[in-house]
Amino acid sequence: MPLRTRLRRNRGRLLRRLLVACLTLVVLVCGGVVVAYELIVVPEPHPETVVQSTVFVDADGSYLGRRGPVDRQEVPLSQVPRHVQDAVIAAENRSFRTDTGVSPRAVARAVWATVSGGAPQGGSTITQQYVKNALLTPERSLTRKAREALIAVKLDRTRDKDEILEGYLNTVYFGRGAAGVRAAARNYFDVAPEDLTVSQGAALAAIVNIPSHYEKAGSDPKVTAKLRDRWEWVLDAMEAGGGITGEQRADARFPAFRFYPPGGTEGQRQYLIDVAAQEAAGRLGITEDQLARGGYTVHTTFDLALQDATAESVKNRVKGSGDDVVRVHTAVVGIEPGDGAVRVLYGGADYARQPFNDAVSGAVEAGSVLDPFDGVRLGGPLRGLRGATAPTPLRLASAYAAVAADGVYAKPRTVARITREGRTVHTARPETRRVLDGKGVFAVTARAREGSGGQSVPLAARADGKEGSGAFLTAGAGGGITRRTVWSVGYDSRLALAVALFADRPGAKKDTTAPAQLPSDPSPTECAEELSGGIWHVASDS
Amino acid sequence: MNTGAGIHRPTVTDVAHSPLRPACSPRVRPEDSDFAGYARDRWPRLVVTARLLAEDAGAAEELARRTLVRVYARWRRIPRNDVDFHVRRSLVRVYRRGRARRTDGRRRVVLVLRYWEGLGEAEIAQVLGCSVGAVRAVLRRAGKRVRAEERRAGFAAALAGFVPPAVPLDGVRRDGALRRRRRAGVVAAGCALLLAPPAVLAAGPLGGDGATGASKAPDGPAPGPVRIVSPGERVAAAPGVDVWLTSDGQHWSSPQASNRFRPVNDGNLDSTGAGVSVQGEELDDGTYFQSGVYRGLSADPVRVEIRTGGRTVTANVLTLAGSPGWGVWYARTPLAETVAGGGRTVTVYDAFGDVLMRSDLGPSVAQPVRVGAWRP
Repeated sequence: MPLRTRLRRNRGRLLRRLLVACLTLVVLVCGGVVVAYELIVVPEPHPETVVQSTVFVDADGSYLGRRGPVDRQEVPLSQVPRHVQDAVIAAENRSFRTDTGVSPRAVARAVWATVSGGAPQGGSTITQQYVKNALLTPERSLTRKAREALIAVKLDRTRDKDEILEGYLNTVYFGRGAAGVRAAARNYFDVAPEDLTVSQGAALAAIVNIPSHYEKAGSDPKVTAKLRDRWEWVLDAMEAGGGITGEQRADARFPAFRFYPPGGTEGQRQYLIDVAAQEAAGRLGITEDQLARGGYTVHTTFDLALQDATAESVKNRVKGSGDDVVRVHTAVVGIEPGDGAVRVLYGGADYARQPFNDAVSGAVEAGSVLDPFDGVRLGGPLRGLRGATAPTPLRLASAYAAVAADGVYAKPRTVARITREGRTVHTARPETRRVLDGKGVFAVTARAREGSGGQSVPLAARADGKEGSGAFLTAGAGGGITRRTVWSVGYDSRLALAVALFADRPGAKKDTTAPAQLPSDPSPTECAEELSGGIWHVASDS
Repeated sequence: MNTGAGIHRPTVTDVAHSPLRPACSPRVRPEDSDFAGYARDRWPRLVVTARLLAEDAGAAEELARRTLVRVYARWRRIPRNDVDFHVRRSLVRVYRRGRARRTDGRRRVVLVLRYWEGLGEAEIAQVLGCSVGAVRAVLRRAGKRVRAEERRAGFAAALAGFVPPAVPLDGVRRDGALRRRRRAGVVAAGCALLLAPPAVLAAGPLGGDGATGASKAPDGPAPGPVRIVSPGERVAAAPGVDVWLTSDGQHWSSPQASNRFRPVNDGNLDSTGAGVSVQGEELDDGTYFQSGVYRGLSADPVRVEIRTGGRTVTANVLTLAGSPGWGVWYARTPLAETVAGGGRTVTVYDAFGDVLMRSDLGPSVAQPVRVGAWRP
C-alpha cells in the first residue's frame, strides 16, 4: 500500500495522538510552572540597589552635596504626588493597578507597536521592571526573563501595589546619574519630589523610557523635541486615564530643565561636606563609609548664601596678591555664639587642589590676636589657648564666640540634625560650658576694642548700630611690612567671625611647604579687614 | 502496518465470494463513474455486509442507506482510488454510533471484515482507527472459541434467504445533500467563532493607537532656552562671563569686574510691579554681552527676546526652581550693530506667545529669530 494512502487512512488516528501529546505537554508545562512558582523565592533586593547616598543640606535646606556611590535616596510613596505616580503608570504600564504582575496584552501591544512602527513601548510591567532592576542581577537570558515573570507574579500576589510602585520609583534609573525619583527631581528640576508639578512629573515619566538619551533634555534641541512629543503623549494618556483633568492638561507647559552636567559651584562645598561628614559619622557612631552608604540627610549648620558670598569676596580680595612662589591662604570661620553652630567655614580656594582645610586644621600663628586674653583665666576646653602659638582659626573663633556669649563656650558644630527616610535619627544640641567669668568677658572685650593691632574701628557696632555688644579687632604676627599672619576678628551676640590670612612657599623637600611672609601689596591688614567687614555686612543683612 | 492489503489478501483463500471484493481491484475506477453508478454497483454487497452486522433485515437496510448518505455528502472529497475503504469505514462508524456502542460491536466488526470481507489485519485496524495489535487480540480470542471455517459457515447461514432490497437512490441523494449543507454551515459557524476574538483584539489596539498617535501641536511660539539653576550654580554665559543666581538676585563676573550683583528688588525696577532690566558690556572677543533681571511675573516666561540694532535674538533664561516669578536673561550680540542700533528692547513672552512685559516702548518684534540662528 502506498505511503500516501496509508497516511490518509490513518490521518484521524495520527491527529488524535498528536492532540493527546500536545495536551500532555501543556499539562506538564502548566504543572511545571505551578511547581516553579511555588518553589521560587522572591529574592531580597540586591545590595547595589539598597545603597543610598547621604545628602548634605544647609541650614535652610538648600542642597549642599552628597556622598555615596549612587545618587539615590528613598522617598516614601506618600511624599510622591499622585500625579507623578499616575504619570509613571501612564507612561510605563497603564494596567498596573489591575494587572497580575505580567501583562500578556502589554506584550502583544509592544510587539504590535514595534511591528507597526508606533510609539515604542516595552512589554514589561512596572512589577517586572522593578524585579529586573532591584531584585535580579543584570544578565540577559531567557531563563532570567522567565524567573523575572514568575517573581513578578509572586511579588504581585504577596505585596501591595503601592509597595511595588514605591520600590520601583525609588530604584528606577532616570538618567543624569539619578536612581529613584528623589534624585531625579533634584537633578532635573532642583525640587523635592513632593514639589514636582504635573508637567515635571510627566517629563520624568517620559524620561524613564530611554534615560541615557533623554538626560540631554534642554541642551540638545532634537532630544528636547523628542522628549516633548513623548511628554505630550504621557499627558494625553494621563487625561484619558482620568489622572488629570482636561483643564490641567491644557494648562501643562513643557518644563524647563537644569543644566547637565550642572554648572560648577565654588570649590568650597567639598570642604563643608568633609567636615560635616566626619562630625555626622562621629555623632552616629559609624564610619564615614557607612554614613555615605546609609541614605542619611545631614542638616548642617552652614549658611550657603553667606558661604558663597564669603568665597566670592575672598576670591576678589586675594586675587592678585602673592606670586608664583608664595601662596596666600585665607581661612574664614563664622560661629554662632552660645550655640556653636558654624555658619561659615572657608578653608581653601579649591578642594581639588588643596583638600586640606585651613580653617579647621591649619595652624596659624596667633601673634597679637590673643593679647586680649592676657591675664584672663580660661577654663575648660580653652585652657591651653593662651599658651598656644598657632591655634586653628576654628578654635580661635570659638574662643571669641565664648566671649561674645558672656563666657559660655559652645563646642563648634556643623551638624544640626540627621534624618533618614523622613525620621530624625539624631538632633545635635549645643554643648556649652562656662569658661570665663563676667569680669574676664568685660576685660577681653575692652582690650579688643582698644585694638591690639592698631585698628580700633568697631566695625561690628557700625554694621548693626548696637554699640557695646561686641568688638572688632585686627591683629597678627609680625609687623609693618614683614607680616607673617593677619587675623581679623569680629564678634557680637549673633556671630563671631574670624578671618586669618597667612602664606606659604614650597619647602625644601618635595610636597612640603614652609611659612612665608605675606606680600605687602595689597596691604594684608586692609585685605583682611575689608574681607571680614564685607562678610559681616552680608551676614547682618541676612 | 508492515504489509499492504494486496499482499495479505491471498492468505485468505476462500473469500472470493465476498460481495465487496471487486471494489478493491484497480479495474474499477470510481472516478469513471459518478456516485449513482457506484451506488447501484455496490449497494447489494453493502446491504449484505450490513446484514451481517445488524440485527435484522430492516436495520441492515437502514444502516446501508445511512452509510451511502454519508458517503454522498462527502463524495467530492473521497479519493477515487480508495473509495471502498472509505465506504467501509463509513459503514462501521454508522454501525457503531447507531448502536450506542455495544460492547461487542468492535468484535463483530473485526470478525465480519476478516472472515466475510477478507481484509487484512492492518486494513481492519485502519478502518476501525485502532492499532493492529488490538485487531489481532480480538481475532485470537474469537479464534479460540470458533474456528474460521465455522465462522464463515455461520455468516453464510445468516445470509440464507436474504434478498437485498432496491437502492433508494433519490432518498440518499436528498439526505446526503442536506447533510452536506448542514456540515458546511457548522464549519462556517465554527470558523467564525474561532476567528472573531483575535480580530476584535487586533482591532482594539489599532483604534487606540490612532487616537494617541497624533498629539496636537502646541500653540504659541517655540520655547526659548529656559533653564533651571540651583542657587550659586555657575553658568558660563559667554567666554569669561559667569552668571549665577542666589535667592536675592543675579550675580555675574566678567573679565572687567568680578562678582557684580543685581538684586531682584533693585531700586531701578519698580519694587511692586513687573519689570525687566537691561545692562551690557563689551567682551574681549568683540561681542556685546547683555543681561538683566525680569521680575514680578505671574506666569512662567517661555521665551525672552532682545531686539537690538535691527536684529532680534532669543535670549537664554535662567531661573531658580519653584517658579519664583523672576529670572535672569542673557544674550550676546555683535558689538557694531548694538552700538549703531541704539535702542534695545527686551520682550518676555509666555507660553501662548503673548507679551508678558517689554523693557520699553520700542518697535515691536516683527520677525522672531530662531535660537542659535545668529553666531558671532
